[in-house]
Amino acid sequence: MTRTFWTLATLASYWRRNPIQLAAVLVGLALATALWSGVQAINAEARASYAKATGLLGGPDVDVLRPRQGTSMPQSVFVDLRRAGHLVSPVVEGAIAVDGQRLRILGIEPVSMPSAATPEALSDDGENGGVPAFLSPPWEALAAPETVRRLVGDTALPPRRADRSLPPDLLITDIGVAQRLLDSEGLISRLLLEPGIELPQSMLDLHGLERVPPAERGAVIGLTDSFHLNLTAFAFLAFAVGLLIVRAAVGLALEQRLAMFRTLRTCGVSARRLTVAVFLEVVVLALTAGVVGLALGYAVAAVLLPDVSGSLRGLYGVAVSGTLTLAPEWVLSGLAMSFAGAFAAAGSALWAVYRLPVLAAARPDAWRAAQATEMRRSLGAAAGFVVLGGLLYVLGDSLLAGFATMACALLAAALALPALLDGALRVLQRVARGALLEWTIADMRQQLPGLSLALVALLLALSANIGVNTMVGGFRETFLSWLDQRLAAEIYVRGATEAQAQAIDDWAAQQPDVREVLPGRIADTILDGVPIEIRSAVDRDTYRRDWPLIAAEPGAWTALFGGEAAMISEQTSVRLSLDLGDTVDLGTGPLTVVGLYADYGNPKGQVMVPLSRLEQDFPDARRLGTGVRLDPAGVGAFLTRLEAAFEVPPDNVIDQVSLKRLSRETFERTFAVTAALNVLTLLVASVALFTSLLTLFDRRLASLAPIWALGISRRRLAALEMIKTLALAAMTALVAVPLGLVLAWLLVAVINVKAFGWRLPLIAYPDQWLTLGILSIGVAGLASILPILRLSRTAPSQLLKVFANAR
Amino acid sequence: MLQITDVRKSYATPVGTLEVLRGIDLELGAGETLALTGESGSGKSTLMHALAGLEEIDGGTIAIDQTVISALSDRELAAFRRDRIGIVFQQFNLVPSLTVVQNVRLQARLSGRLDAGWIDHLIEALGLESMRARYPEQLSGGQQQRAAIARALALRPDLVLADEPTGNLDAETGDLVMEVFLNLVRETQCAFVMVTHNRRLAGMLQRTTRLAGGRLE
Repeated sequence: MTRTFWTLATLASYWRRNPIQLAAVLVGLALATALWSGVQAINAEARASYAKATGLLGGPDVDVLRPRQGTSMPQSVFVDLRRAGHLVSPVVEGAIAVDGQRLRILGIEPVSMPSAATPEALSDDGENGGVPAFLSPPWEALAAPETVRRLVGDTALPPRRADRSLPPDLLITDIGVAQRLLDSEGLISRLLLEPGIELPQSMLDLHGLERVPPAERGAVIGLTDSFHLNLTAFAFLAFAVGLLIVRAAVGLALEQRLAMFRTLRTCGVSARRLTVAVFLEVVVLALTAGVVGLALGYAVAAVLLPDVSGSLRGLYGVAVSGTLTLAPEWVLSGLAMSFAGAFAAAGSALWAVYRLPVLAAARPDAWRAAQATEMRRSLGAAAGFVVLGGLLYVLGDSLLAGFATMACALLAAALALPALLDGALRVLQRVARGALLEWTIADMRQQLPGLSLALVALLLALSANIGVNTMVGGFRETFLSWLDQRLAAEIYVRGATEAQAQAIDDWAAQQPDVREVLPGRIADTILDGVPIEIRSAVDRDTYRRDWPLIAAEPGAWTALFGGEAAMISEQTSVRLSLDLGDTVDLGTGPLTVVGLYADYGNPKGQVMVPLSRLEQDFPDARRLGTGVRLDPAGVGAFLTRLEAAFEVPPDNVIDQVSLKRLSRETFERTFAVTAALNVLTLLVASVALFTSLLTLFDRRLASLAPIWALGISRRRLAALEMIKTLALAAMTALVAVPLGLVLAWLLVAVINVKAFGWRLPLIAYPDQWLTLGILSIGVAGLASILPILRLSRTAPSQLLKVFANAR
Repeated sequence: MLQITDVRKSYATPVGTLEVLRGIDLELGAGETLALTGESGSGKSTLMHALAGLEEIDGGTIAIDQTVISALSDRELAAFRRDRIGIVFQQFNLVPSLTVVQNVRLQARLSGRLDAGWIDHLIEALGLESMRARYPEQLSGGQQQRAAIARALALRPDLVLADEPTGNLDAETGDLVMEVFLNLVRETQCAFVMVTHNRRLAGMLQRTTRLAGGRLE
């Protein structure tokens, strides 16, 4: 024990004398852990919200009966089934707007409700009121604590009681109250069935019901999984970049401590004891950095969670709590990741300590020779990853395979970068003229092994930025142009009731300045387990001329309005493997697919049929806002007349300009998290470069001192050092452009298609590359300022020491 | 004390096998001092490393106080070296992040046999009192080598091995260091083997032997 202690103390003395290097290891590991654990905290929070929501839909052990067509059924179905002795419980669900924000209303009947589906607050009917307060005036409702806070002061809704088990933006109330709030008296959305209860198929057929087991209700979770996988992939990239810092610092520490290891071995420390001591050292570093990383991760999660919440609401329509809870399993997994990262970064160092013979340990040149061999091996491994990535692309057909292909591309580039830079410098060396230039390039090559990991970190961060920015940029352009065509109507209006909506449609059709009135309806169904919306189209020029189609049969619109054909969204095409000419059956007979259209941002698939057919086949289809086409200059006057003629709630009328602005805002918010992670990854890469340059400073003196002795001033040497670092960063940025484009292509052609169901065009943005190139040079410049200032202020006596030590 | 019998060592090189030691036999008693001389590349350092258990031999035996070290495992060898042998290298081999006194105490601490009084005596005898808290980089070459000598003797080892201990020092400093070193070796009563090119330094030791063509002359 004493021997291990003194061995450890000797190892620790190195860190005491090299605090910057220690900081590099801790910062790298802490940042890596922070980004990883931060994103995991967000994912955990989102999943907890989904779990709460799924629990409310019926719980894991409760089956649901829902109408085969439409979204609601008469309440009499519930009465009939109960009278027949079947233990079912009614639920009504819908949404209302409160202060411009969506509030989901869930009406339940707690007495008949299966216990597995009952909210926590209604399970104990003791001190807080429980079921009696819920069922009697003033009908106390349940909501998540944050929703209760949001609704403070609202008198239109029943009084609220907080229930921590509920997801945000949801109000659970007695079914009668909910029907009133949702304006759907006498209707219910679904029935919950006690677990294990059999129900004859004839009974289901009689009432037009279908029984849905819990597994098929997880569609939203399946969709959001892709979003979380996306975040996790980004976090892992940042984690990998952080590890590169650690690996660089640990590798340097190993190289610089070779003499110490030799001394310890000659003083009688066995290879095993030395390895154990280095192992313990890594454990202490991992634990320290892990704790710091967790604290930072918590902060990162707290900052990003509102944006993630916005993204998930915008993309999938799911509510995620905006507040973070600290779960013990999150702490443990964060620490485990810190340990895994530390050992992944230090593993080869540990092995080298164990394997290196005592005398070889004293020869750093042997170590460097090993690095040259490693460069050749890395090139071989890079080629291997290129082949593997190609195979995954050709043979893989899943989101995971898409990410694995991307990982292969990143790994191949990371492994090949040092050899690529070395090759380029070798070519430059051949054509270089002038002693100083020749030395500069030769010195850059010598500097490469020490800086290569930091440059790889920069490469990964830059290429991820280029890839994601290209994808988001292409998406933005496509989305905005799609939005312009899709939101063709100048005004969208929705009546407060069915009667008012019909009256508005009729009134609008008579207005002299109105060119077209575009009423619409929508219904929900599930096809092959995929949630699908069925939306209507009306035979007007706006559809035939403006509706954006990706692909269509000749005469598609005429065929559609003929009633025997349908158009489908891109998502439906991908998820149900449907193409032009195929048939789709919505339960009302086969329809030929005659057109494909983009439907960005919609988590569900969509099938478009003529309005008349939708009204006939799905009588309960709900109304969409009616689009009104008129001269844009006349929008104000029309709205004034509309206001005078009808009492339409302000939230139910929106003009095209405002709607587009809202859509754009949703789009930008959706990618806010990605942008934030992009910036953080670049920040980590800058830290990698900074710490590498700083820790390499002492070793650089040995290279620079002879040139200084030959008559090159310290100031000039410092300038040359800066130029060398900037040149290496610029060369890395050049490699990052093609790699970034490969990533962008994988994102738009593989990952987006698998994750969201839409394919985007790949648009190149050279101005972005230029900006990033300048940014990377700027980052390199900033990272090298401190080491270079140190060099320019290095006393001649210290430079002379290089020669004294070499004696 | 030290018995070397038919020690052989060769290296594989790109041009074939290079036989460095071709059957070395040598005996050295406790308190005896021996200078090992020879041309560069004659195998002096290889023999020295083999004696310290830092290099494996191909054949023969090396026994120190009747323990055949060439038969020990890495772990046993490390323990033997830690408790019984002191080594001084040409490059000093001090731990740069430890102070002079920490460096001197290092091996004794690892061995669990720290004799603070003896170490203070060594530090004083080697003229390092004012440098106890300094780091190696703050010392001259001669001072660093004196610290390395103190570390080698801190444990009162049975055998002290020195590989060109004054090779990095000027003649005057080298002589001064050597004089103090030998005094302390005598005081410790250990066996002492020193590799050197320098005939004058070799003459300061009781016996001298020359290594040439892989054999002792």
